[in-house]
Amino acid sequence: MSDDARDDQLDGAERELASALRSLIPIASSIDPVSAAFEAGRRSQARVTRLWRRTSAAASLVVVVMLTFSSFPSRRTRTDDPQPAMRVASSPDVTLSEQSVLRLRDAVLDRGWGALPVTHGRGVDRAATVRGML
Amino acid sequence: MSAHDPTDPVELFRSLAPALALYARQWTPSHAEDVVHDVFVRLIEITQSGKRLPEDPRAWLFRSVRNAAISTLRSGARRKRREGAISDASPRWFEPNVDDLIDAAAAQRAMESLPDEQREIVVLRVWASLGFQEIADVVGVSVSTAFERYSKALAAMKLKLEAGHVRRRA
Amino acid sequence: MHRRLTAIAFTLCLCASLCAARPPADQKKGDVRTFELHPVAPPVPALKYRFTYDPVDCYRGNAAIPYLQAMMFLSDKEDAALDKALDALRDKDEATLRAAGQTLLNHNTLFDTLDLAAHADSCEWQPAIRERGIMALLPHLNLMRKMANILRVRAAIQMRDGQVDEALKTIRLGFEMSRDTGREPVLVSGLVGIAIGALTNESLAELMSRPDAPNLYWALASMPRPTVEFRHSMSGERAFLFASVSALKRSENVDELTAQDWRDVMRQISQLMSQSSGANGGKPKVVSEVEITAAAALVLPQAKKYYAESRNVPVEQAEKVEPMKLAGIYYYEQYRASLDEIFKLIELPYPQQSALLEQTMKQFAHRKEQTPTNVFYQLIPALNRASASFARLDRQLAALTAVEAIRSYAAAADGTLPPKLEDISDTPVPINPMTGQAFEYSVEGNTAVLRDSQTKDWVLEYTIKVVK
Repeated sequence: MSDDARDDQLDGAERELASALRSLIPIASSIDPVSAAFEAGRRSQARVTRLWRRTSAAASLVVVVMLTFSSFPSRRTRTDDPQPAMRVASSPDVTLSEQSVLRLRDAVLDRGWGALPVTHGRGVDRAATVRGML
Repeated sequence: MSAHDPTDPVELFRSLAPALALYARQWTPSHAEDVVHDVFVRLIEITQSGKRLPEDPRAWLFRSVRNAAISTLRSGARRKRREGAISDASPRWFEPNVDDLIDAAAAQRAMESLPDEQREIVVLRVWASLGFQEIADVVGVSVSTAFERYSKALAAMKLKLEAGHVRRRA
Repeated sequence: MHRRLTAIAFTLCLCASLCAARPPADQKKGDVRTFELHPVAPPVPALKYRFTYDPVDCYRGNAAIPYLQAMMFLSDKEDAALDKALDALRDKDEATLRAAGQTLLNHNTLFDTLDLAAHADSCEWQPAIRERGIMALLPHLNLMRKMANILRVRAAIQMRDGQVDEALKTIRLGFEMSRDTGREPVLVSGLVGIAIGALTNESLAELMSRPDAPNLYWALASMPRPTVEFRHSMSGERAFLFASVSALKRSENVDELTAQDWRDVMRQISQLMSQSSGANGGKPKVVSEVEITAAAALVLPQAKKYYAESRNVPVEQAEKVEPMKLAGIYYYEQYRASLDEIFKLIELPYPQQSALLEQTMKQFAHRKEQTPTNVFYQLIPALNRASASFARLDRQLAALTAVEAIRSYAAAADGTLPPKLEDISDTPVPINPMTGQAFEYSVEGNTAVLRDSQTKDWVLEYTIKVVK
C-alpha cells in the first residue's frame, strides 16, 4: 500500500492536523555543516597519524632486531613515504605536463637544472636542402 | 561529489538538519544538536574513507541519530561539545512564524504529551517526510505498526489541541 | 652477541667520523678556483674580443626559431657521448674526452644553426603564459641545457687543440644562449639561463689560465649586466594565478564571484598544485569537496571579521555572506598581500634585497604554517634561493673580470701583483654585486686571493698565481 493510500485512511481532521503541523518550522540547527566537515577531516588526520606512529614504531623495532641479528641490509632497500595526511581521491580536471611551467619550476628550484625532464629532438641526420628535395 | 549533488553530505545536512535535530530532541533536548553533529561527522568520515554511502542516506541519518540520542539518554553522560559552539538546550522546538497554521507552543505541548513511540513517528512523517517503509526501517517496526502509531498520535494530538483551544490563524 | 654489537657500534662511529671530516680546501662549498695567470695586457684594439654580437652583424629575426631547428638535430644518440665527454672533462681524462667529444664536434649542422640563432636581433619563445598560466609548456629548456653542455665540450677540445679564437667564439655563443634562454618572463627559464651562463663561465675560467689566452677584461666588462635579470624572470610569475584559474580570469572584482565560483577556484588550484613536485616540501595533497568545505570552516571567524573590516560594513552584513565566499575572499586577499610583500623586494638591488627577502620569506613560511588550508599560498615558491642564484652568476662574472684586471696590472708592472685593488686604475675592478662592496683581496709574493666571505651560504675564493 502506498503512503498516500495510507494517509487516505486518516480522517479529514487528522489529515488537516498533519498539514498544519507541517507548517511549523523546527528550530534552525545552529550546527554548521562546514565545521562538522572540518572536524571529520581533523579526526581522519589524527587517526592516520596514530596509525602511522604505531606502524613506524613497530617497523623501527623490526629494523633494530634485523641489524642486530643479521648482516647489514642491502644498500638497495626501497623506502616508501608514510601515508599522506589526507588520502581522499578526486580525479583532477587538468593533468599538468612534466614540461609545464609549474613542474619545471619546482623541479629546478628543488634539484637544479639536472632535474629537467628529458626531451628529444627528431635526430634529423642531414639538413634538408633545396637541392636535396629537387 | 559536487556541491549540487543531493547525496553530497553537506547538501544532505543542509536539507535535513532541522528535522534531525527535532528528532534527537525527543530523547535528549539539551544535546540534540551535538548528537546530530556527531552523526554528520560520521557520515563525512564514511565518504572520506572511500566507502560507499549508505543505500538510503536519509534513513541512515535518522536511524543513527535515534541510536545516538537514546544512547545519550541512557548513559546520562554529556556528549562532547562540538567545536566552537555552545549547545544551549532550547525549550522551543519550532520557530514562531506568522504563517503558522497552528500555535507552535501548543503543538509542542501536544507532542510532548504523546508516548515516545508515537511521537517519533510523527516527527519522521511530518517533518522528515520519510515514507512509512523508511520509518519502519528507522524505528525497527513493521510498516503497519508505524502507521498505526502515527494515526493514534494524530488522534490524540487533535483531542489535546481542541481541549487547549488552539488559536488558528486564517 | 656483545662483541657483534660492539663491532657494529665501532663501524658506525668510524663512518660518522669520515663523513664529518673537513673536505680539502679546494672542495669547500662555493666558487673556489685557482688561476695560473700569464700577465698579458688588454688587446689592441681594445674590443678585439667580444662576448656579445655587434648589432651591425645581426639580422632581423627571432632566435627562438633556429634554436628550435637546432633541437631537431639532436637525438638520444648524443646522450651517451655527451655524458662520457662531460665525465672525462671532470675527471681530467683527456683521451676519453677527445674520443667522446669528437662525435659531438662532427655535428656541423647543429653549430651552424646555433650560430644563426646567436646572430638574430631578438629572441621570442612565446610561451603561452597569459593563455595557460602554470600549465604553459616549456619543452625547449632541457634541450637548451643539452646544447650548452655540447658547447662546453666543444670549447674544451678547441682549447686543447690550441684553437683559442675558436674557443672564444664558442664561449660567446654560450653567453648568448644564456641570455636568450632567460628572455622569457618565467622563473624557470631564468634559472636555466643562468645555469647556462655558469657552465659557460667554466669554459672561460679554463681558458683564462692558458698561456696563450688573451686578456679578456674589456670583453667581460662590456657584457650586459645582469646577465639574466631576476626581476624580469619573476614578472610573469605574478600573472600565473589569473591565467591558470578561469573564474579569476573572468572577473577583476573578486566580490562578484559567487560561493560556487570560489569553490571552483580552490578546487582548481588544489588540483593543479597537487601535481607539483613539492618545491615547498611535503607530499602533494588531492583535495575533495568536503575538504574544501572544511578549509572554509577553519577560517570562518577571521574571514567574517576581515570582510567586515576591509569592506567597511557591519559584521551582521558579513554574516549574511555565504561562508565559502567569505573564506575564498579571505584566502585570496591574504595571498595577494603576501605576494606583494615579496614582490616589492624584487625591485631592489641584491645587496639591499637579500636580507629583507630572507626575512619576508621566513614570515611567509610561518604564515603558511599557520594557515595550511590556504591553497593560494602554494603558488608562491621559495624565492630567496632563486634570487641568490641570479646574483651568484653576476658575482662570478665580476670576479672573473677582476682576475683579468689583475692580470692587466701585472702585465704593466712586470709581473707584480697589485698591493690593493684600488691600485688598478686602467682596468677598474668591478664591485661585488652580492654585497655592493669591493671584493676582499690579499697578496703574498706572487699569489693573490680574491674573496667574498660575507656571502656565507656560497663563498667565493679565487687564488691567483702569476706565472712569469
